[in-house]
Amino acid sequence: MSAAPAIAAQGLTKIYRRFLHQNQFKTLKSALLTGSLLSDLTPDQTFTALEDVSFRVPAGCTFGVIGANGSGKSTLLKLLAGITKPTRGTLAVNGRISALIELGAGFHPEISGRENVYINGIMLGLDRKEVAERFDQIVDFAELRPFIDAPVKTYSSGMYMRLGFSVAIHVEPEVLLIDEVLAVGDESFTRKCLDKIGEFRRRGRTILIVTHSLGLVEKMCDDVLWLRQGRVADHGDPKRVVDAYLSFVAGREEAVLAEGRGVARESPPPETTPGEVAAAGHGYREGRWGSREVEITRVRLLDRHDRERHLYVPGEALTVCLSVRARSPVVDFVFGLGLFAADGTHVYGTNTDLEEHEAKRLEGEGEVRIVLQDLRLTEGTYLVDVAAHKRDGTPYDYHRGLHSFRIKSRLKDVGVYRPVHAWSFSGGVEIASPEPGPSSLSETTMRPAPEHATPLAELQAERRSWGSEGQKVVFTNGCFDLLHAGHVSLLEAARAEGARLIVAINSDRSVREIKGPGRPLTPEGERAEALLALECVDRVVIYDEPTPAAAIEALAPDVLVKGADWAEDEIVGRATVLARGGRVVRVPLLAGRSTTAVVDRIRRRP
Amino acid sequence: MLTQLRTLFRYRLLIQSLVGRELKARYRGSVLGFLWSFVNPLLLLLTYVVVFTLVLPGTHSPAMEPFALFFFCGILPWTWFSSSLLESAGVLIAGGNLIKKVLFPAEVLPVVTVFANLVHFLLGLPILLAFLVYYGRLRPEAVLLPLPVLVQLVFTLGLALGVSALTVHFRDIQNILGHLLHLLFFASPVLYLYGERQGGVRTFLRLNPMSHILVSYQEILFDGTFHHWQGLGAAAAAALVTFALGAFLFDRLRDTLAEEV
Repeated sequence: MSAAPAIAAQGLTKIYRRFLHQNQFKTLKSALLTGSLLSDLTPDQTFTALEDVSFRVPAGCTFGVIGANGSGKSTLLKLLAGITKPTRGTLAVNGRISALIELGAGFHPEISGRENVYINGIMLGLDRKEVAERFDQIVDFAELRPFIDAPVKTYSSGMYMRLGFSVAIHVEPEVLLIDEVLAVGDESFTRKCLDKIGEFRRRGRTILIVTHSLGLVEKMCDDVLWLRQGRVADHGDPKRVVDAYLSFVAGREEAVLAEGRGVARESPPPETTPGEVAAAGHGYREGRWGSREVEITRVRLLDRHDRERHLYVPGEALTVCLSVRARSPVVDFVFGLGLFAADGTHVYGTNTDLEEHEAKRLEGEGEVRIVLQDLRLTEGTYLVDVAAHKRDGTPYDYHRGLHSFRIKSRLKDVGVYRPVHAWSFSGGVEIASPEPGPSSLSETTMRPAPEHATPLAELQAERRSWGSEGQKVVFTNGCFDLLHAGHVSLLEAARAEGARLIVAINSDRSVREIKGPGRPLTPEGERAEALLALECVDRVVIYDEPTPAAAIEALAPDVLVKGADWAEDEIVGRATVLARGGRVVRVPLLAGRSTTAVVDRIRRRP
Repeated sequence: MLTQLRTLFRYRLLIQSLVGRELKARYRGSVLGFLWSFVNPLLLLLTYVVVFTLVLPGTHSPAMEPFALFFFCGILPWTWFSSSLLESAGVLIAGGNLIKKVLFPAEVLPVVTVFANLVHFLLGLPILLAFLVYYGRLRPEAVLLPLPVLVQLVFTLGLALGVSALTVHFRDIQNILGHLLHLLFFASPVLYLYGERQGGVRTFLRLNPMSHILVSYQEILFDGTFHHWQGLGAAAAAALVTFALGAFLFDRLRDTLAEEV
């Protein structure tokens, strides 16, 4: 490994012509005079694909580039490969490059695989002898031995790509550029490619990967660059950048959902007589109909804190809140709710009549809420039907598929319903379960949280959005089973370290485990309520394990605060926080204000 | 131009393999295969000989007898010239995938086209030599043959570079080029004697480098005496200038190719 970076980019800007065949003479003239297609064009005739992108890739580093479609990733790759020149800025690449951008580009369909391997190898910078030396490896890696003398036009697209990949990877470049090409074959070939790339890493080669596979980025890359509309949105530690990217994408999806489904549109009723909401069949079509004697004027999807939201993680609570108005008093009315998966699968349906709520009278305006305590659904978009109708099914106001929410999950399990479940293994079954990282934790350790505590999964999503807004998140933890002035000063000091303070408290069960059967003095729900009442506390989260390690891992706080009675190296989660570039702060305690001292003092009183 | 030559030298291995591929791929799948390189010029020869001896007899001067041989000396290099240009017009667009997706020296493509056609020309030569031997016209002057070949190579390379790069920007060239070459064919001494033309036509022929190159071929092979040194020298100078211009044009447009193809 040399000290010089393998890739150094400074202020890279790439501007394209927007309309290829307009102003041909103008652009040809400027191309001939100045070597650029753009000098004679006005800004609205150009398109900026990359703007002021700077980064360095040290030799031996695996560098990931992520971003939505059209964010400039491929343009960046083309610049790095030398296929196009930057409009502005400088770019230095040290060492032989091989670019896996288009596999098998340059294969001639009429001639044999063997000849194509030679020519492709020479195109990539080898000489005939070098290709001959590698020929067997190339063919074996591509698993094309029996077909190597057949014309390439007879190959399947998978064979074609495999051969292309194999040649490119055997060129032994010092810098390898990869553009989303790992989908080149079946499962086993993909694994082989990944192994080969792993081998490159071990041998200290520099790799730059452009991909949409965030899992791959987190797993393989040392450093990640996130491009957004041609600019660097973030750069640094893979986990942090991927999380920031995910929460950005989630935020945008949220906006789209909120916008697209906000307004209920009129539409004629479908041919079939609409029955109860609970009964919906195939041919699901969105719409709104009914006599409007009772009108649903507004539908809101609310989270635990009564904020309107359209993006949830499994295990969260969702409240469907209907604002209703009766034109004249009615006595025969039923409110119903239906949930549908995006493909029309009926997930659930119920109404007040089915659940034996007896309607008495509806007059003027009112509000109807149904709390779905625990969304045990898999990832996807779900449509919500709401309705007000007569007991015999005659609709007053029926909203079909006009409202939706999305479940976002890191686990890619399938189906609709996710039962609470746990794996266990015994005997000769040896399985390494995932570490209690964010993915497993957020969705498996689900317990009904008291009203004032935020479920970890929900808090995780919030924490990400705070992070992307640049708010510093402070974390502290404890039993807090007797709140006193010492706590208040500690929490205020903690809050002063950042913009948001999360207090994690032990569950009743785990307090008992730590402090003995005499504790806690106050149940977890009340502790959460008291803490949340403090102005300096933003969220309270309850954890059931003896230590908050998993919560710290999941929430990745910027600052971890503990009382000064804890020695620095005793603090749980310290390493996790420091490893992510965070800080650990020990706050001095007020004399005689420990909980144990307070308890003693109370007990000594007659 | 020197850097251009250096680039070409650096990529000689690539050019060599691509020329080989071009030749292999061209006749792959046809019954006669490689024989087409010999059959093609013979069929062309046959067509013109039939036209000018049976349909239009007496239109050529006695100095051109045997007409088939005279015509063959001109049409063989002309075919090389015109096919090279016609193919190089489309070659960058056809190879767009390479230019856009792989770091690939674009000038290699027109150069490969010219060389591949040179090989076809060279494959046609044995037939021509056989004719010469048959008519008893093979003279020692035939050893001068490499001279006009070299001049024509440089001239064609220059034009091919320029044409290929410009066609990326103006696809129209692909359509007009065939007609221009057809016109130029009749404006070059392939079907008639350069020495017998007078007036304006003569002036035009004198300004056309291909005239001098073709006359050189005809003198070296058909007449067996070579006097056209001056003409060939002038053509060589024109070829060098053409090459320099073509290379310059290509170089200027090089960075735009990946975006325009």
